[in-house]
Amino acid sequence: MAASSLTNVFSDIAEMFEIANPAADIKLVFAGSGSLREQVLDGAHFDIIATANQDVMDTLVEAAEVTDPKVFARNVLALVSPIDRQPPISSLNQLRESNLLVGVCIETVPCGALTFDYLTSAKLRPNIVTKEQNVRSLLTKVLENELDAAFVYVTDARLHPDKVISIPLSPNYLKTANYPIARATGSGTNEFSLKFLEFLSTDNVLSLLISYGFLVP
Amino acid sequence: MKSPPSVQRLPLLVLLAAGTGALFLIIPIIGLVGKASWNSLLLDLKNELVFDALKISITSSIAAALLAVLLGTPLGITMARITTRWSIVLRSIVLLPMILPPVVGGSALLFALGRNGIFGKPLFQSTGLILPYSWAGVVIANLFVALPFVVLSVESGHRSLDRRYELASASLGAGANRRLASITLPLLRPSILAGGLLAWGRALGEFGATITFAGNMPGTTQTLPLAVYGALETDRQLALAISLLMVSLSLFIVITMRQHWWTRR
Repeated sequence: MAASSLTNVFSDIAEMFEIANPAADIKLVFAGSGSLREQVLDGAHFDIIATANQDVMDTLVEAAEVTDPKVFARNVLALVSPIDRQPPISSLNQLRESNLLVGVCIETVPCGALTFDYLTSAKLRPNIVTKEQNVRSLLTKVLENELDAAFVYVTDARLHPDKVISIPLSPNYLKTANYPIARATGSGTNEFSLKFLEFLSTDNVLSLLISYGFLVP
Repeated sequence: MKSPPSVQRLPLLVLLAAGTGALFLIIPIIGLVGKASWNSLLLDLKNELVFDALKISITSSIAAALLAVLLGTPLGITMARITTRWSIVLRSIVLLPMILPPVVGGSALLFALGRNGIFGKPLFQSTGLILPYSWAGVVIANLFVALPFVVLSVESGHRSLDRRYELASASLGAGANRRLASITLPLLRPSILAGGLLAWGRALGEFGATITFAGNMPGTTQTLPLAVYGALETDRQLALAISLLMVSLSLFIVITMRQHWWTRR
């Protein structure tokens, strides 16, 4: 199970792992971190879980559902704008314009929490027209030029270099999102669980993560 | 009046299957009612988010249902009378939103009516009007999924009309407008009402097209179903409370519909 912002990179990692371990068969489930937590607490079966937020993982540790969480990657916010928007948005100050359509993730999901944290410290109050439940649906609206700007992750901005431009954010106010990963407490039976976690810190995987725009610990 | 055939005459297998079907439909509702904490229910519902979502849900679904009646009735009447092969084309157009996944419908609306859409772009450039992210956008998404219900109800109602009334009034010299206003529409009233109620119910429960086309903004475009979706990730009790609110609203529509059918008989 993995947070939806890991969709692309985890699909690649799973494929690499299966090539290295032909007997392994990884089934991936992607959802928002909060939704993953609810699924696990409701008894969903899993061997490994990666979330986009430390709080979610802490809850699962407290509930004794998982063991040994470790941060394997980090992500930062990015402000993106459609590349063919006229006139282009080049500076953060333009967010103060009231006629700009700005999208964010909702406060209750990790990218939204980071966004509102940033907006408060940077004292910005953009014209927010939608609070999307996940970063993917937010990005879609930018790709369709239906939003002038949106706060997503750097890794999302990297996926579409031909369609969106990134506007630099003030590094002073930026916090990083941690991605912890952990084993299910009952998954001692699956021989590949530990192997997969070790595989995450191999050079190949680290450079893959970096190529997607993640920071590695 | 002929008395209806007795239930006891039905084969056991039919009764068993019927019972299973009914059970299957009621089990999720039992789950919902069973998991709710009734003590805090009212407290959960007494917050601004729920109140705003309720307001938007009610106003936008009623607006969509009224528009559906206004546009769907003429369309239904026309469809009932068309005899050429165009009726197949028209019928497919009307049925499509019922079968299409609402998310696809919402994306289609965005591509057509969004600020950068085929029709939305000229609209935006000439008037500055942006339909997504607005209450009007919610109504449009609702209307797209609800309109077919009125059309089909009116069409089937029209097909079972006794044409002799119209022919008689025509022979007495009534023009097309007069016939429509004093014969056809009054006779179609039950079908229009039933279609309108179904459309209202469908609009009230709309989720996929709304979140895709109108976005999710508490206080502006967040309807009750969108609020449930959001609350599921954060506050299960709140999600349950809003769900129960939606069940009661839907029951209200169903009961209204039943009463209407009973009085007709």
